[in-house]
Amino acid sequence: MLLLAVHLTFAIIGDALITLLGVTSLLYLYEDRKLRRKNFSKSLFKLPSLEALDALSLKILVLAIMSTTIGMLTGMKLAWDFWGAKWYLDPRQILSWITWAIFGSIILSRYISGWRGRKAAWITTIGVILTMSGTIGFHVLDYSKHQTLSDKPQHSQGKPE
Amino acid sequence: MNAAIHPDLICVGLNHHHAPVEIRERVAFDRDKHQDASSRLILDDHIHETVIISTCNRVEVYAHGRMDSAPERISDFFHRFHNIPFGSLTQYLYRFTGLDALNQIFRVTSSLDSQIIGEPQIQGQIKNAFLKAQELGTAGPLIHQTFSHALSVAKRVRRETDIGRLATSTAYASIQLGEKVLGSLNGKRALIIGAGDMAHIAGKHLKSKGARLTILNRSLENAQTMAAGLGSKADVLSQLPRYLDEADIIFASSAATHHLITKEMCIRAIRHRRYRPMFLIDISVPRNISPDVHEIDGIYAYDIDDLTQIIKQNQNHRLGEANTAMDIIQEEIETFQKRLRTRQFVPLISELKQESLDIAAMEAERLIQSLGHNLSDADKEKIARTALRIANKVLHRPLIALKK
Repeated sequence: MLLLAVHLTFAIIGDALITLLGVTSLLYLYEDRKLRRKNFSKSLFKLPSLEALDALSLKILVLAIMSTTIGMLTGMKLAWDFWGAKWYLDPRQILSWITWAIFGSIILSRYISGWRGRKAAWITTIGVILTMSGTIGFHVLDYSKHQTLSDKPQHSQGKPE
Repeated sequence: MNAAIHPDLICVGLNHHHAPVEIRERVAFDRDKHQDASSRLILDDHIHETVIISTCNRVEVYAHGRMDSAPERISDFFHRFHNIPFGSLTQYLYRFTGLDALNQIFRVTSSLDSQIIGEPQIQGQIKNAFLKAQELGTAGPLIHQTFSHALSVAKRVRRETDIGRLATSTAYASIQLGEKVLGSLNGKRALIIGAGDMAHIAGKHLKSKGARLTILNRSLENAQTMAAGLGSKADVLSQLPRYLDEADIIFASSAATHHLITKEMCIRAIRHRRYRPMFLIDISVPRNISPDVHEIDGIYAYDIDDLTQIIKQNQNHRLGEANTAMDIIQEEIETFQKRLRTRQFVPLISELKQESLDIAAMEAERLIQSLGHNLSDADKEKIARTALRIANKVLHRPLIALKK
């Protein structure tokens, strides 16, 4: 199952990068808040600069979206093979599209209108939280067709669409 | 053998601690006088090697020479060279000899004696003075050893303590804060409003970080004078709106009595800049930049009180760091002495070795001759080698002890 391997690899890399993105965005917000409130404590001077965090976040964001895109495209093909006509009706998949759209528009607005800084960091953080809670949530709630890919018997756990 | 080695090093000079700026100006050896002064100093029979250090905060002559007479002669030289009545500098000039002079050059180079403790320029200034002395041929082995060691001590202090990272001056605190917002200042555009002392210092610091400067001042002439010194652009203050959009950094320190930069101006500027962040520092009193500018997204504006807060926080920490640095210097003085001692014994060691080996060879030769022709060549060689081996073995322990 080469396709499955590719799908899993890129989906996992994408998730990891998105988690990292959450870290850099939160650090940005923390540092920005300190600079706004003129709270010049020691920790402020240990952090990388705002500009560096912003630039790093953008890089991670681009890599994350590239990885996620590959994960999603391979996923769609797999879904078509596994589930046939109703391939797009997996909640997990729908959530992926939503977050993909969020991150995509962040990238677009950064490149087109020079959008950056605090607002970009906030939206990114929200996107990250949404993605992570989705990923974790669906695993915990078992509310996904993705169960077909696990080692559990296909019909005992899978909920009807 | 364990007695402390005192290098024949002398330091005579004055600095910002005791000598006011009027005095420091008078005895400074600027570029034109530097060469003349060095060559005249070295003509003195009692002075073998010399380096002159002349910065805005200190003027010091380091020399290797006769410990009994050279300090007096150097301090006379200060008066004679600058045409100052004899004795009038006495209350400002300090003299250090031997280990104290070594301690002084180590402390100065490590920026522990600077007006702003930990400021980084002094290291480069010392290095340049040393290179200059080498170029002029006034630096010999002792100066060479002392200054290269001092520079490596400064590097070690910088590496092992936080002293260089902390800012006590307002200009420096501004840069430190600016780097938190903008990252590296290299290539960033900085606008300096005003051409006074503080503006000048800030300009120097910014320049050293690679920022591109424009100086705006009410009087174009003053702006141009300052710009010429810093290699930057100058313009009149009324042109400020033209430069605002381009400025990543604004440092305001002028005597204007109203807000030169308002919130509306900044909102417009940040939009034109496509939200690239701006960093504003206003150390003027009354303020030149409206404080509500800080509320705009992407703009970070601070005034003199904010900087003072950083400086105060840094100072305590810095005192501790200075103590650590002093420990390092003490350690390095000992290392220096050890090296000096080894160097002192190098001629003795080689002489001793040569002589013993000569004696051994000679005695072996005599023995071979007296035993006559019964000996085979192999036996002769054995005798010669044994003699040398004995000499080497006898020498081994004393030589090790000397090297220690």
